[in-house]
Amino acid sequence: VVEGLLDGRAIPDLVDAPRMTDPRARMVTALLEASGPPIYMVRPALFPWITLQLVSHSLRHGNAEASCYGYGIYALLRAAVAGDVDGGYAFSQLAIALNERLGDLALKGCMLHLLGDHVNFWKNHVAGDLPILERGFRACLEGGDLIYSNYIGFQAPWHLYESGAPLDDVHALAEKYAVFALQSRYLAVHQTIRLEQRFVDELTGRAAPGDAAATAAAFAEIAAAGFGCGVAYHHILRLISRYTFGDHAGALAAARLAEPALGAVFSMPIQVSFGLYHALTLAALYPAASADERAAALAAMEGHRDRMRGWARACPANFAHKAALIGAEVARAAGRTAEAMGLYDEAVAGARAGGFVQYQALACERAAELYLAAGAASVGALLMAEARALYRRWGALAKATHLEAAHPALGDHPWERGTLTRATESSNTARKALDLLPVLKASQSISAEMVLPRLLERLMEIVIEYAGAERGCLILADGDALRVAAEADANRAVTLAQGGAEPSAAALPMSVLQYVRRTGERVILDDATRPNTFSSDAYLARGQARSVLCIPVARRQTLTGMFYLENNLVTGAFSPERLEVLAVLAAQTAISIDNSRLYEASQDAIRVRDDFLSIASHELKTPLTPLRLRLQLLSRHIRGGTLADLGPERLARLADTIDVQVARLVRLVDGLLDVSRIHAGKFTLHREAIDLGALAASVVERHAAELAAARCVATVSAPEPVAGEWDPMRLEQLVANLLTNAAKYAPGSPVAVTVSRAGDLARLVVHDRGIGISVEDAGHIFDRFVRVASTEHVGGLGLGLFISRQIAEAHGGSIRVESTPGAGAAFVVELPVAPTAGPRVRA
Amino acid sequence: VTDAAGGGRGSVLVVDDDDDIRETVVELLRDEGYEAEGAANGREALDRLRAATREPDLILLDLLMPVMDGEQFREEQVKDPRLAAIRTVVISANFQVRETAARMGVTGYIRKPVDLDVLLDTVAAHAAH
Repeated sequence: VVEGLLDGRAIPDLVDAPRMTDPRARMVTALLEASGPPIYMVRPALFPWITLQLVSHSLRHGNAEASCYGYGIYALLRAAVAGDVDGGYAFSQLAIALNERLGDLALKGCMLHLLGDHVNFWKNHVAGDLPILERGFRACLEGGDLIYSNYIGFQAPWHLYESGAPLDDVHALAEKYAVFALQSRYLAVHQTIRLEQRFVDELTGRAAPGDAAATAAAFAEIAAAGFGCGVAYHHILRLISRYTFGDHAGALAAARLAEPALGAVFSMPIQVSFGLYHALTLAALYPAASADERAAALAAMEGHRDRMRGWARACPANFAHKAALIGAEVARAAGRTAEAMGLYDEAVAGARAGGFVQYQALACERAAELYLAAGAASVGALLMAEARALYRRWGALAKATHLEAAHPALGDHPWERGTLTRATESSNTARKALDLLPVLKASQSISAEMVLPRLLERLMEIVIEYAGAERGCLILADGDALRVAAEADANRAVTLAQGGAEPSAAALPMSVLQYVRRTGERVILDDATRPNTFSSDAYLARGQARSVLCIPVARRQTLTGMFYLENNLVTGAFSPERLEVLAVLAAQTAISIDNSRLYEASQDAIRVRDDFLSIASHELKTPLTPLRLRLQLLSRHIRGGTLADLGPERLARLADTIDVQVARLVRLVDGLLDVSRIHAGKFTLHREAIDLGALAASVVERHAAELAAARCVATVSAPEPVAGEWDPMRLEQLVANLLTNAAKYAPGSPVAVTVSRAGDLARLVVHDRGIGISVEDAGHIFDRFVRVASTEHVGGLGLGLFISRQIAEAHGGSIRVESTPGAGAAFVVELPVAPTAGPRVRA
Repeated sequence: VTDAAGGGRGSVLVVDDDDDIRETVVELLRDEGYEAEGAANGREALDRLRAATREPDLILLDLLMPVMDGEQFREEQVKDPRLAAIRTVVISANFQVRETAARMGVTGYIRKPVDLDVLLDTVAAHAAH
């Protein structure tokens, strides 16, 4: 049907289709959209029909706001039901583009939710879902959409989990959304996220696995709320956890409970995980099963494998390694050992290439078991050790411990002391030409990492891996000081120092670090226990470190920091080949750290802007209510011919209040423009010789009405003339801001304005006797968008004091507040009487 | 909430922290022959209601207010048997006002910026005698 209605048009071009103008068609579209969610709840079987109606209606009659909803859902059906991933993806992009075109904020978050939660992962690496979901979540907040923001809330942590991210990161992201769900009172969503966190805790070892009683209350609340997604999540999480910790019967029981609930997680990554773990569970139970059970299990496993292969055709990154893993299990069950070995290998390689550390570990573990069972003990042990190392890297420490318990020989294997083995191996054997390919890959993976803590972690892992070091630190330069940002030990466990600790002479050779900081040159000590330039260093003198390397991390002659590496087992661990590799990594590190700092700064800027937009839209709407009501009252009287009844006095008052609201809007808009000027660096001064006392008196006079309305009695005291070269417009604005502030926060209090001179400084003080300002608030009231006294509730954008500070600083002066809570506040402005170049003056 | 006997029309308590909005709405309703009074937040509204000898026919309730917001006011209101039955209409700029109103169990809602006809129709429906 859809192809016919497309009539040769390309999907992306539909965004340019005419708007739906026919009122009947618009009505039908709106009705179809509105009936979508209830039908989904009550008659899910009709849901695709509704969607198709919406789409075909839009294709026939043109685009309306509701068309986006139709296209967005249709995208999901086309990708997940019809298996046309590219077509589905194109419709999802169309839904977003059309929504942008129509400027419909109400549906924007929902559209991004559909793409990020349900469509994108069929085509692209699942890690790409996260930025989409983050944008979607913000759009939901801007549009006031608490429903889809919470849908994103319980799904985003799972997408992050699927992407192979460290488990601690998954836990942290889940926490953010759990708090949001709780605050917005979506309790079933909140409990679902708590279940996800519990699942992560079981893997990391913070919670005991398989404790059904611990999740019973959460599940009961989810089930009572009829939250199908949460029900499915509960059973599938249990399936994965039970399988992971070797309780295969428990896993099968969970899978049976999950099966009838799967409709609720249709077209979500966790639906795919169900297939994978169901197949793995059947495979684990296969050897002990009866002949009948075996036939059914094999058929089910093959079904899972074929579905996974189908998905892998559209997106090999996400699904090929999973298809290979199930394929290996099928081959193994059928006794085709060689085929199974090949497929496990394929699964390991595919998972590694995609960064799916959990599936790489799993494939290694399963392969290891196959080799061990086949009697290939040394290969099996190697693979098992690798699986354990990968689980650890991922953060699944409980799973790593579980492997150790199941394979007691694991800890004794030489690979576990890998750095020693590899250090000697590389100096003893003929591996002179170091393979640069993995280094290039590593450096690419660094440059893809934008979030600083994760970047630092990746860096340390890679550097330790390629350097042949036992211990390493990344030290960042912070002005003249040095801070330890990350440290890795022989087990490759990376510790990030929050905020960065100063390096201590007990743990690091300070003289070496300072030398590298000053000269920007590397230091290599083949054997630090022998006499050398740094022998007197307190740390090196203790004789613990043997091979020592400190290599600068610099970009364009600017030192970002340094890597400090040591190997305490062998001398000469840092061969020229390794140095070559490290030099490449250090250069890449400098660039990546710069990038991630820029990225963090841009993220902060976006957050500030988002906060600002939500405050601005609320504040701009407030004056519109009295404005609109009064205008509509006037127009009613005009139409009704009763204008004269109002009387001249009332009419004048109406006009005045309308004027007041318009002035209020003008002030808000001016404030916004000032902020954007400050940001653009276009805040310039036009200096004239003026008297500050006279200026203050005239501003107070002009604000008499406003002050009177707040029952504030204002006095100006300027005993002597205080003349200077200042921008009169800007200073008037500054004084006006302070007066408005007093009227707002100290109603009913006297307001004393004093102007005096102190040496080369002119001083203006606005003192009120209101509620005062707490010490904490006094620290940041001059920042952007800050409003004290229970945010949201006192009008204004919170820009006044920010702009006031910019004005004072542009004059080379300052502004501060002196206050005792409960006893009023004094805003003190000090300005140099003669122009000096202030830090913020931009001509 | 005054004790004076009203005319043919009922009485309304307008709860909004924005002076301009509150005064405008009170003035318009008085023009239309209602008895109208204002309160700047939920706490002030409760105090007025408890001090008065006769309940108003209708409360127009803003949501975002200092001291005590609309939802907190509603919680207190329904706990007080004397006030629980007073019809209450929420007025808000919040995009989710419909859902919020449903959750609070109030009589209805009006979106900001308020339309005069909507305001008068709503008040007429709930406060006309």
